[in-house]
Formats: sequence, structure tokens, C-alpha cells
Amino acid sequence: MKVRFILLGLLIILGSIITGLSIAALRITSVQHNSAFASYGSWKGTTNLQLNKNDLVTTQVTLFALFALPSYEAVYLFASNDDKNEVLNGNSAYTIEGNIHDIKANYWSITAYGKDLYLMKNNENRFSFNNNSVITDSNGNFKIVVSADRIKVPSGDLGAGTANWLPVTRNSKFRLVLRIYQGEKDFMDHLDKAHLPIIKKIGA
Amino acid sequence: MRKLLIGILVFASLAFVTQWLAIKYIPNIIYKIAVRRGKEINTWIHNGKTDASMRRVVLPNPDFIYSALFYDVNDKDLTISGTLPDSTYASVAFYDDRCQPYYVYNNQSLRRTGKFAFQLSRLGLKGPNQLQAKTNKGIIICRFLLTGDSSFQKMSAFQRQLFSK
Repeated sequence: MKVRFILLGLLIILGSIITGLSIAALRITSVQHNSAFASYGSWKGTTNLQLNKNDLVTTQVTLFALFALPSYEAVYLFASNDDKNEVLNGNSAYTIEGNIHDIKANYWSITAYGKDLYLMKNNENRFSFNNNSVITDSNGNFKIVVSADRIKVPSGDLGAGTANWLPVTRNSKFRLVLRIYQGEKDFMDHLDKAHLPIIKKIGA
Repeated sequence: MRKLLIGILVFASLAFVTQWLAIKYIPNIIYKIAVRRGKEINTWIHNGKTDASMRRVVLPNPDFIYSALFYDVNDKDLTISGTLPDSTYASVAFYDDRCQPYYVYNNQSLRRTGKFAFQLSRLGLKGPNQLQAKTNKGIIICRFLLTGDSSFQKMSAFQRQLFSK
């Protein structure tokens, strides 16, 4: 009877620990559903990262954006979906359209990451575009092509042919991260009204 | 029936505490793992160009080159110095032993000369260049923005100017 009681107790403890860890894993990986992060079109993030104030946000940032800077220094916006809310995948090609004057910051960049959150190996050694490297027209408009193969955008279109090509891995989901460093206060305070780059699937 | 209720209560309470502890202390565990990968304490580690081969830290910014220092001010203060270039962006950021930032200085906040010299201490010293470490152990990261292929050598020179004592 005693042995049975001890075994039952151990089973409850073990089961509760496994359940607790499973719940923690589920909560941590459900970044998309964390109300601390807002949506700005396809981009999701916050201009007020609650590091060391909100345990769940702190752990999510530590795991998925280790050594991030505080929001007053840099803002990180993530996109896993296009403008039609379809998951970004290297099977398809996308464009990121915007205007460099619409992002009022000292420095900004758009980087592509694999589903493991590391940079994706490619022959071009090209992983990002920023406000210095992206090619624009005379008005500051740009179009970045995101695809596994170099493709031609329609003639007369932005992006100077294929110069703004951001390679991704074929047959694999990927994420885009828009980093905004030292954004102007008014721009950051009204990010929900800002014209952030739009991610569109080519041929959709 | 009573035993069953007690069993359910114990199970739910333990599960709740476990998930709370896991969420609360994962940053501390990540820090411990990061420190193990660090070679030396209170010494700058300089990384080269950031590309797909860099797989120590998630979401590396390929526009930056990084220098990092794992600090420990338990026994004595740490002095660090260097210069942040007058480029588009460069910064030195201090992280605690949960990998969370608590001081950040960039090339705009230091723009008069770009030079910095800080004495990091566990005590609350009040001097102009004295900083109180939030935790006795942590990480300092310098970020240097590359503004083109030709700027790598220039930024590497700034990396090499970083000093610690």
C-alpha cells in the first residue's frame, strides 16, 4: 500500500513537471499570439519592449532575438506572412515594396532568416538590404525581390532589374526582420500609421 | 473522492509553478550557456564579417561586425575603452546575467569624439565615467555598422582599438 502511494506521488510530480514544461514551451513559442506585440501590416513587433518587466516577453526575446537592444535604441519587426497573410516560403517569390523616406530612422535594414532564425547560405552572400544599400528610383521608391532563384521583375519596374535580390532557401519557410535604429520619435510614436514596406507574393 | 481532489490540486499547482519557473529562469540558463562558449573573462572577442556561418547567436545582423566581452566584476572593477566611429551607427551595450540590456551608448551619444572609457563596478560609484554593473557578471557587446564592402577593414581597426583592464 505504501509503495503504491509513493509511486502514485512520484507519478503526479513527474506528470505535473512535464505538463508545466509543455505549457511553458507552448506559451513561449506562441509569440504571434502575445498581445505585447502589435501588428503593422505584415510586420509584428513593439516599440516598447518590456524587457525584465514582462517575464514571457523577456524569455521570448532571449530565445528568438538574443541580445536585442532596448526599444529606445532599436525596434525589431518580424514578418512570417505576406500581405495576404500567407506564410512566407522559398517555394514562392515575393517583392518588398516601399520608400526609403517613409522609414524615418538613422539606419534601417531588412534581413531574411531561415526558420531556424539564422542567415540562409547563398552564393551571393547577400542577406539583407538597408537604407544605404537598397537601390531606389529618384523618388526613393524601392522594390526588393525575395526568391530562391534570381528572377527578372517586369521591365520598367523598380529594383533596377534584379539588383535588389534577396536570396532565400528553396522549399523552406523563412522570416523577414525589419530593424529600425534610432528612429525619429514622431515616426516611432505613430508606427501604426507609418507606410512600412509591403510584402507581396509575385503572381498572387 | 477527497484524495482525488487533493491529487488534482497538487498536480495543477506543481504544473503551474513549473511553467512559471521555466519562463522566469530561461534567460539565466541561456546566459550560462553563452558564458561557457566564451573563451576568456574580461577580454574582448572580435568577430569577423557576419554571414551564414555565424551560428552562435540567433538573428545576427549581417550589416554589423561584433565585438563581445564577458565581464566579471566580483573581485575587481573592469575598465573598458575604445572609439565608436562616426559612421551611420555604432554602439556599446551592457547586458546583465539574464542577457538583458541595461546601458547603451551609441556614436550619437558619444559624438563629440566618439571615444569612451568606462569603469564598470559592482559598487555605485559616482564618477563621470563610472558605471554600476547591474549584475556582477554579464556581457558587453560593441556593434559596428558596415557601410559597404570597403568599410570592413576600417571597422576592424576600431574593433582592435577596444581595450579592457
